[in-house]
Order: sequence, then structure tokens, then C-alpha cells
Amino acid sequence: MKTVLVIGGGVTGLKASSELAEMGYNVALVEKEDYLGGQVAKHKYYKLAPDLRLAGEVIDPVIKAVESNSNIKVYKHSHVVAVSGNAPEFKAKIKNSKGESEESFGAIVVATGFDHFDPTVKQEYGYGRFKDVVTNAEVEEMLNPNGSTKGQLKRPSDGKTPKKIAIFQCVGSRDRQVGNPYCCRVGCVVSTKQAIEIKEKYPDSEVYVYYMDMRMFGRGWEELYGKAMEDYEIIFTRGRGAEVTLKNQQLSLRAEETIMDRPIQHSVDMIILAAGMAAGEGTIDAAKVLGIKQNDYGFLSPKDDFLSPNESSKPGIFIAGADKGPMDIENCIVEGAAVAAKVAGSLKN
Amino acid sequence: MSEENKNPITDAIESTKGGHFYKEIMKDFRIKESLHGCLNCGTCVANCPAAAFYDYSPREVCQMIIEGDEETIEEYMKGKIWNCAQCYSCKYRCPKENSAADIVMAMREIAVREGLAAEALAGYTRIAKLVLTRGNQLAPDMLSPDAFPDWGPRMIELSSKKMEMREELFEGFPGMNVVDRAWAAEDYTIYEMQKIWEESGALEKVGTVFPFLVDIVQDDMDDKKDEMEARIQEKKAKLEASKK
Ligand SMILES: Cc1cc2nc3c(=O)[nH]c(=O)nc-3n(C[C@H](O)[C@H](O)[C@H](O)COP(=O)(O)OP(=O)(O)OC[C@H]3O[C@@H](n4cnc5c(N)ncnc54)[C@H](O)[C@@H]3O)c2cc1C
Ligand code: SF4
Ligand code: SF4
Ligand code: SF4
Repeated sequence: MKTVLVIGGGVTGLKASSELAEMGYNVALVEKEDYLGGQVAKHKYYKLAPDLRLAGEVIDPVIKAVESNSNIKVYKHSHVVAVSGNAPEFKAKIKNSKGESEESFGAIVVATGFDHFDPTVKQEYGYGRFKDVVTNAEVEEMLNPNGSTKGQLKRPSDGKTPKKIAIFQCVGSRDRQVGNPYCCRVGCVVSTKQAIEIKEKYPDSEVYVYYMDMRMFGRGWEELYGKAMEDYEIIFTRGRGAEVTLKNQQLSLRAEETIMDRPIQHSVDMIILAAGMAAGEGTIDAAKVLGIKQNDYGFLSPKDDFLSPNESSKPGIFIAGADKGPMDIENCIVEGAAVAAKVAGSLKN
Repeated sequence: MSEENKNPITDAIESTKGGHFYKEIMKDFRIKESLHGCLNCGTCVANCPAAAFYDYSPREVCQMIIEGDEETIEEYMKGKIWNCAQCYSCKYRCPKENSAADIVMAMREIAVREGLAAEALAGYTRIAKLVLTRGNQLAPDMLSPDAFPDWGPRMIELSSKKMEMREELFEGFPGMNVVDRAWAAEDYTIYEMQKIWEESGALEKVGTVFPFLVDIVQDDMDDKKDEMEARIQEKKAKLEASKK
């Protein structure tokens, strides 16, 4: 039986590994961090959209399925530094603090995921200059009882609970100025979810979402949006957040209220940037080592988007999950299973 | 299609797009670079100093060109586009990399050419005259509190105390009440500038908006002509000599 190399231990790589192992294949799962679970674990996501279900309820069983399967060997804190050969006879060098080893594989799955867009380059938002301008990933961690603020939403500047909170949509997405014209595909639902979580915890707070379009296309997303407006009185303002300044120690934002046709300024206590998904460094590294094609934004290109969505530009090397472009967890799990089936099929021939 | 079956909305859009002014604008080389669709996000408006003080919106400018309604375009060329400060904030912030600033500039040129600008620019007569005869665009005496709302409320306060402040600064200053230029340009420099205006055809263009200014400039030039032309000859001779 051939061994399959899976690179990346996020939800996609985990699902692919456990599916392959269940089919009887041996799997080597290489993860560069010292934990499994990818971005969900890194930023301690607390509740998932759209059901506000605990992230642990989803991610823990997926991790457990990998850790309890003896067909899977997990390499944490490890990198694939070189790959040679062709399908179905690859040789890969795996490197970690203990040393380097070379092993043979029949197929390779790349599930290296994404990085959160770094909003520092959108200087007009003041991220990195104003302490109380934070990212949605940082808020995920704050809302988690096991996170840095033990589940409390706190202003980094003074540790106080903010009363007025504005959320900026599409940060680093749908924006030619930063070279990312694509949609992040999760920002809208994640912001709506975070707004609800904040209102549930702090009913006296005011939460404003500055948006261009609410793209609520997923299962239950539109319903969540309705709930946010009807049950939680979250205020959705149609206009993109344009600029943040500090006036008398308070954050002040500028936008256009595009339905009323007028420019506005709005003083708030905290601003959350719905930073989108960018191709991660890990994905770019993996593409280099494996010599597979990337698209204009650095994400991995399928051989054919319609007909072979999980095949890379090279035979025997497969791709899945958020390293192909923005994707939510539900779809990542589907991708993990789909790529496993594709790999199994290729190894039979 | 019978009259009753017409859709008043789509008909309005179809029947008015593609008029003369629209075509002139679309011919300008800047438009293709300045409009890539519009998200209607309002980033441009939020950052626009003109939108903060006037009934003006760079988003509307982009939408207007996309829609192409001839009447609206004509209306804008006569009025709203002249509110833009040409600061280019819209261009450097627009997520579509549109530039209302460039669209406005192209429209202004066409408006002047097509004789649509006279009314909108009437308020600038004094500025144009000063530029053409003194080489300055603003003189301290021209600052009136209501003319420049975008300079903020402090300007109103300052201009009400203008005289006292001047007295404090320049005790016994001759011509206290007439400060008709911001800085002095030499007669020779002004004459040279006027010749450039004349020979490049710019003066003629100014004439389409401010016809009487052409006479004023020409009179001004005539008064100085003999002396200045002599100096030009002198300079030319010097230049020739230095080449030998
Ligand atoms: C703020 C925010 C909140 C979100 N909330 C939700 C939500 O509520 N519901 C939902 O459905 N989705 C949500 N998402 C989307 C979710 O994060 C992604 O769908 C999911 O994390 C993608 O999983 P993945 O395994 O493809 O990638 P990742 O989670 O990025 O995992 C990739 C893994 O690969 C590793 N890796 C990368 N490169 C290498 C390499 N070269 N070598 C070895 N290992 C490597 C990384 O360390 C990482 O562990 C959210 C996204 C954001 C931005
Ligand atoms: S998902 Fe929403 S926040 Fe993200 S880029 Fe698309 S529209 Fe913007
Ligand atoms: S260039 Fe004109 S339209 Fe653009 S932001 Fe400045 S004043 Fe507004
Ligand atoms: S910033 Fe650009 S995309 Fe947004 S409304 Fe203005 S012109 Fe349209």
C-alpha cells in the first residue's frame, strides 16, 4: 500500500488524512506549527457561523479522527523542503528540529490554507497605529473564554468594554488598490456572527456594520442576517469604511451613507476590520517546492476549475481547501473528503 | 411596441445614452483609465473635500458617466463638476482605481470648449483677471468669508478682523486698504506670461468664458509693449553674443 503525503493540518488536511486512512492508506501529515487545526486553532475561533455552534464541536472530532488513527503519522513543526520524482513515485524530504528524513509517497495532497490579510497596508484604517482598531481574527480570540481576554471584548488601549463598535467589511478584499479584487466569501457572515455575539454579551452596546453588499449566500447565512437586524438591532450602513482618525482620544471614522447620499463621520470606541483571506506564505512556499501553478493572487490553480477542481497542474499532486481561494469550513470539509476520493482513485490505476 | 407596453425606466436609460456630450467625453484618453465600473461604495465621497461642503459627489460623477444620460451630463458640466478641488483623494482611495478627478478634468475642458462653463465660472472672473494681469491667482483683498466655505469657520473670524490685524502688522503701511496681489511679479515676467497665453491659444480659450478679459489683457500688453519688446531684443542679442 502506498503512503500519501498531506501538507497542512488545518480542517481540510485533517479531513483528507482521516478519509484516506479509513480507506486503508498510510498517511504522513506534515504541519508547520506545533498544533493541528489551522487558522481555527491559531486564532481560537469560538463560535462558528451560521449556527453559533462551538468551533470545538467541529474541529475536535476532526483532530481526534486523525490522532486516533494508527495509519496516520503526524509530523508537527515540520516542513517539506524538497520533492523529487513523478507520480506515483515521489520522494520528499521532511525537515524539523530533530533532523531531516526522506520518504517515498504515491501521491501528495496540498492543504496549506490561507493567511488573514494584514491590514497594515491599508494605512487609512490606522491598524497598527491606533490600538483600538483590531481585526476580526483578533476578536475571535477575545470572544473565546480560553483566549487572551477570557471571553471579554476589551479595548486594547485601556482594557475597557467598548460601547460603540463599528465593523468594516471587505478589508483587503474587493480592492484593486491592494491587488485583491476578489471577494473573501466569509467576511459578511463572520461579521454578522461577531456582531450578534457582541450584542448577546453586551446588550447595551451599539454595533454598526459598514458594508457594500451583504453577501449571505451560504446555508443559513441570510437568515442570520435577518436575525441580526430584527432580534439584535445591529445597524447595517451601506457604505464602505473609508478612513479612521483619532479625535480627542476617540476613534472617528469616515464613510458615505450611500443610501442617503451623504458623507458621514462617526465616533466609536472600537473598530473591527473584517480582514479577508490572502494566499498564505505556507501555500506560496509549498507551490515553490512542488512546482505547481498559482493564480494571480498566489492561491493554487486547479488543472481545470470545473472538471478537475482537486488536481494541481502536476499529475499526482492534489490540492484542496482554502489554499485554492477563500472558502468556509463546511466547504473545506467537503473538499477534504473529495480530494481523498480523488487520490484513492489515482493510486488504484 | 405600443406606448402602453413601454418600460419607462429602461426606455429612459436607452433613449438618452450616447448623446453628443457623452461621446465627446468618451473620446477623451483619460476616461478608459479612470473608470472600471463602480461598486457604489462611497469611499471617494467619504474622502472628498468638495463633497463635505457642496452638493457634489464623485460617486455620482462616475455613476453619471456609466449611465450616460445626456441631460444629466449637460447639467453637471454647467454646474457640479466645478466644485471639485482636484485633490485626487478619490483616485488614491477608490477600490476600483477610478478617478473622478480625471473624469471631471476632461469634462471641464469639454465644457469650456462647448460653451457650457460661463455661468459656473462667473464667480472666478476676479481670479482669472488677477492671474492674467498680475500673475497671482488670489490677493488678500479677495478673501471674503462666504466665498470659500471649505476654508473653514476660522476664515470668517479672520476676515472680520482683517483691517485691525493688518494695522498691527504694518503700522503706517501705505495703501493699507488695497492689497491687490499676493506677491509681486515683475512686469517683464507678466508680459512674457501673457505672450505665452496669447501664442498658445489659451487666451482665446479664456475668451470663450470671459470675453472681456481678452481686451483687458491686450490693453495691458499694449501699454507695456514697446518697452518689453525692446528688452526682449536686448536679451536675444545678449544670448547670441554669449554663443559666439
Ligand atoms: C476571521 C475568520 C473567521 C472565520 N469563521 C468561520 C466560521 O465561523 N465558519 C466557517 O465556516 N468558516 C469560517 N472561516 C473560514 C475558515 O477559517 C476556513 O474555512 C478554514 O480555516 C480553512 O481551512 P484549511 O484547512 O483549508 O486552511 P487553514 O486553516 O489555513 O490550515 C492550513 C494549515 O496548513 C499549515 N501549513 C501551511 N503551509 C504549510 C507548509 N508549507 N507546510 C506545512 N504546513 C503548512 C498551516 O500552519 C495550517 O495549520 C473564518 C475565516 C476568518 C478569516
Ligand atoms: S464576503 Fe463580504 S466582507 Fe468579504 S469581501 Fe465579500 S462582500 Fe466583502
Ligand atoms: S479630486 Fe475632486 S472629486 Fe476627487 S476627492 Fe478631490 S475634490 Fe473630490
Ligand atoms: S470609490 Fe470608486 S468604486 Fe467606490 S463609489 Fe467611488 S468611484 Fe465607485
